[in-house]
Amino acid sequence: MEQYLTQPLSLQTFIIFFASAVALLLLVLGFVTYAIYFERKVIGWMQARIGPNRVGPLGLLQTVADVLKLLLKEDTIPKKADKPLFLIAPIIAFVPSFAVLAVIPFTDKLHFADLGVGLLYYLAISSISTIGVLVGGWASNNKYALIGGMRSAAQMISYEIPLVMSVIGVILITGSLNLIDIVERQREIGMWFIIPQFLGFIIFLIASISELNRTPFDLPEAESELVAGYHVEYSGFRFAFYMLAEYVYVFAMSALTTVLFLGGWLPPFEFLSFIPGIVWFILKFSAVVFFLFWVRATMPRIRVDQLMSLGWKVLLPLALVNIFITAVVKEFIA
Amino acid sequence: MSGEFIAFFILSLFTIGGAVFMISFTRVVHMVVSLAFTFLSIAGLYVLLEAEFVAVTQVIVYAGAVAIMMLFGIMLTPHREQEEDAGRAQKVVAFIAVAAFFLIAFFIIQGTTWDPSVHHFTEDNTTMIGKTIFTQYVIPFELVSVLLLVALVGAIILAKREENDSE
Amino acid sequence: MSTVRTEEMLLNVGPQHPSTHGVFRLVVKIDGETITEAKPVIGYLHRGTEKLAEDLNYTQIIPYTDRMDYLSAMTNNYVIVHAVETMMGLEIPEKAEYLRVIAMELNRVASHLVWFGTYLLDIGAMSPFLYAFREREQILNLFNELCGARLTYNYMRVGGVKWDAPEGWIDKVRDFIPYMREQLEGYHQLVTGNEIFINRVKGIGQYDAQTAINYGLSGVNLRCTGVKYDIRKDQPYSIYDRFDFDVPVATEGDCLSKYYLRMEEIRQSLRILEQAVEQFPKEGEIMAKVPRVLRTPPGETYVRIEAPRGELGCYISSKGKDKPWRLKFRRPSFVNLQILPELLVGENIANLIAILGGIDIVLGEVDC
Repeated sequence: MEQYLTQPLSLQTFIIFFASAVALLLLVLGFVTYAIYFERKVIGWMQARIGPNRVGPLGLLQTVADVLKLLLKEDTIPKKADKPLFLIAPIIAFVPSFAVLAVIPFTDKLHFADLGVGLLYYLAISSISTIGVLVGGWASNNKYALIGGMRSAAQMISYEIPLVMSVIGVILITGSLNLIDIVERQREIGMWFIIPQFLGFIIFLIASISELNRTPFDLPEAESELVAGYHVEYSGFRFAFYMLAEYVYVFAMSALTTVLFLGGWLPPFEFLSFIPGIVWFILKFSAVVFFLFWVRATMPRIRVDQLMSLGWKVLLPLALVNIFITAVVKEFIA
Repeated sequence: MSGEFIAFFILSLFTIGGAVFMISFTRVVHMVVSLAFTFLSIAGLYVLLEAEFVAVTQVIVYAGAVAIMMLFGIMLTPHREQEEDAGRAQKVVAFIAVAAFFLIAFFIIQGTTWDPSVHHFTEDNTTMIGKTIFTQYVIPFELVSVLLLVALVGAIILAKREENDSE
Repeated sequence: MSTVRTEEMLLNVGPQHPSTHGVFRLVVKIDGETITEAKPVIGYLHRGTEKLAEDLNYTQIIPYTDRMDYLSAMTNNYVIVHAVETMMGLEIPEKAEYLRVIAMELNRVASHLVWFGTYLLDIGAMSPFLYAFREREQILNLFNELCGARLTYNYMRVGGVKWDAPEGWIDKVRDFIPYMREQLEGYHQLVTGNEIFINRVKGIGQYDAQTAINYGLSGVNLRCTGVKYDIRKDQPYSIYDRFDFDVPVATEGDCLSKYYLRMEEIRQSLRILEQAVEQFPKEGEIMAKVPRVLRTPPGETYVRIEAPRGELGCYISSKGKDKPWRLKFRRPSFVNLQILPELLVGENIANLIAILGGIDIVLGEVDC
C-alpha cells in the first residue's frame, strides 16, 4: 500500500485502487447475499422448516429480491429524529466493516494490504462500528433504539478486551501482528493454533460472537425485549446498511478466526497440499460460518447483566491466564 | 502532486474541522461525533507518517473512549439542546489563555530546527517500539502502568462508595 | 458526595410489542435498565362477551367462549355447558364425557406447547417455538377431524358434544401419545439443561404461597409455590375421578419451576389421554335428551374447572328464561395478571419479558 501512496497519483494507480476495492465489494456482497440465504436454509432445516424456496431455483434469488425490496422502500426519517446523525449513522457503522477486510489474507498470494499490524488494525477499525450503532440508536429518538444502542456499546466495549487478550497468545507464539506471518508460523510449527491455543480459541470464539451481536449475545437487537433494538426506526437502504454491516462482520470475523486459529489456507495434512489453498480457506471459513448459524438455532439469549459478568469475570481472567501460560511455555521451550 | 499530499490535506481538514465543530456544537452527542472525526483523522495522519502501530492504537483507544463518552453524555445530560452563555470575564480569560498557548506553540515550532532527511520506519516499527519500551524506557512504562492501575482502583472505590451511600 | 443519577425514562411496552402476546400494554418506568414502576393497561381486546351473553340463548353463547382463551377453546366450551348442565341437572352420556375429556386434555397439551414455544422465543431461542408448533399441528389436525375447526371449535353442547369421533380418530389419538412423549424428551434435551436458559429463569419473578393466594392466583402460577391445588383432583368434574394422574407441584415459585410444571403437566395430560383412550366406549350416545329450548331453572350457580391457565369459573344467574340474566366468567389469565406489577418492581428490564411470559396470559381471556 505504501509504495502506491507515495507514488504520484496517476490514473493507473487510481484504477488499481478502485478496481480492487470494487472487486472486493462485489465479492463481499455476493457472500452476504448467499450467507443470508444459507443462514435461512440451515436454520430452516434445523427447525423442521424448508426455508426460502420460492424466488428463483431453490429460492436462490430470495435475498436478491429482499435487497431489491429494501432499496426501493421509502427511506423514512422520524420527525423527531436528529436528522444529520440519523442519516450518517448507518454509514459510520458500515464503512469500518468493509475496511477491515483489507487486511485479511485469503491465501498467501491473494490478499489486499499486507499490513505489519494487520491484527490490531482489524480490532481497531471494527471498534468504530460501535459509534455508528450508538449514534443510530440515539439519533432515532426512540427509547427502544436508545436502549439497544447503549447495550450494544456496553457489550462491544466489554467484549473487545477479552477478544484482544485472547489473541495475544497467538501473537506471542508468532512474534508478529501480521496475519500472513501468523499463518506461516502455523506452517512452521506444524499445527494450527487451535491446538496450542485452545483456551484462547474458545475465548476468541465467544467474544467474537458477542462482537457480532449474534445469538446468544444478540441483546442490542433482542426482538422480544427491544423490538428491534438500535435500528428500529430505520427502513429502506439505511436499514440495509446496518444489515450489511452485520453480515460483512460475520464474513470478516469468520475469516479472521480461520486465519488465526484454523491455519488459514494451510491443508490439514501435508499430502493434501495438492488442493489449492483457497479451497481450504473456503472450507474452514464455511465451517466457522456454519457454526455461528448453528449456535443461533440452538441457544436462548443471555441476559444483559449476565453478559457483562461473563465478559469481565470469566473471559477476561481466563484470557490473562492464557497469556501467562503461553508466555511461560514459550520461555521454557525457547 | 502525490497521493500522500492529497491524503494529508483531507485528513488535516477533517482534524481541524472536527475540532472546530466540537466546540461550536451544542448537543453532547454531536460534539462527541465530531471529536471522533478528529481522532480518526489524526490516526490517518499517523499512517501517513508511517507510524502504523501508533495509528492503530489511536483508533483502538479513542473509538472506545468516544463511545464511552457518548454513553455518559446520553445518560447524564438532559435530552434537550441547551446553551449557556459564558460570562464576559470568562471569555476574556479564555481568549488570553488561548492566545498565549498559540504564541508559545508558534514560537517553539518556528525555533525548532528540523532534520530534513527522510526516515523509513515501516519495516517492523511495531517490534522496534516494543523493544524500546521494554528496554530503554521500561521504568517510565511501568510507572505509567501503575498510574493507570491506581486510577482504575480509585474509580472502583469511588463507585463502590456511591453504591453504599445510596443504600 | 453528590450521587450520580441517571435519567428516569417512561417506556411503553406494547400494545404493539412482540412479547406481550397480543394487545397488552405495560407502562414501565425504568432507571437505567431497572424497573421502578410498572402499570399494566388492558382492555384493547374487550368485546363485552358477558354482556352480549345476556341476549343470547345458551347454545349461542358457546362460540363466544371459543374466543376467550383461544389457545384452549375446549375448556372454555366445557365451562359454559357444564354450568348450564349443572343448573338443569342433566345426565351426560358416557361417550360424550370421554370425548370431552380427550378434547380438553389434548387442548391442554396444545396450549402448554404454545406456551413452551413462545416463552422460549421470548427468552431468545427460536427453534423450540417451531418444534412446539410442529407438535401442536398434530393436535390441531386431530381437532380438525373431530369438529372441523382448528382454533375455535364450538364443539360441546349442553347435554353432550356436537360430533362423534370419526372412524379411526381414537387410534390417531392413541398414536399421538407416544409420539408426544418422545418429542417431550427432545425438548428437555434441547432446553431444560441449557445453562443460559436456567440462568435466565431461575429465581426470577419469585413469590411465596401466601402472596399467590392473596392475589387469587391459580393453576401453575399457584402450584409453583407449593400449594397442591388442581380442581381436577380436588373437586373432580366430568369423569376426571376415573383417571390416575399426579398433580405436579414445585416450591420455588420462580419462572423455572413454572416451566418444569408446565412440561410435567403435558406428561400428566398424556397419561390421562392414555387411560381415556383405553376406556373409551365404542358404542353409545353423544347427546343426552335435552329439550329443544334450553331453559335453566331460576337461581344461580358457579362452576369451576381446571383450564390450562388456572381456575376457569362460570357464574350464571338465571330467571328461568332461555337466556342468562347475568353471566360472569372468572378468567384465570385476568386474575393471574394482577400480580405482575408487584413482581416487576426492582427487576431488570430483560426480566420483564421472562416474568410476563411465565405468568402465561392470553389476551383474549384477560380482556374477554
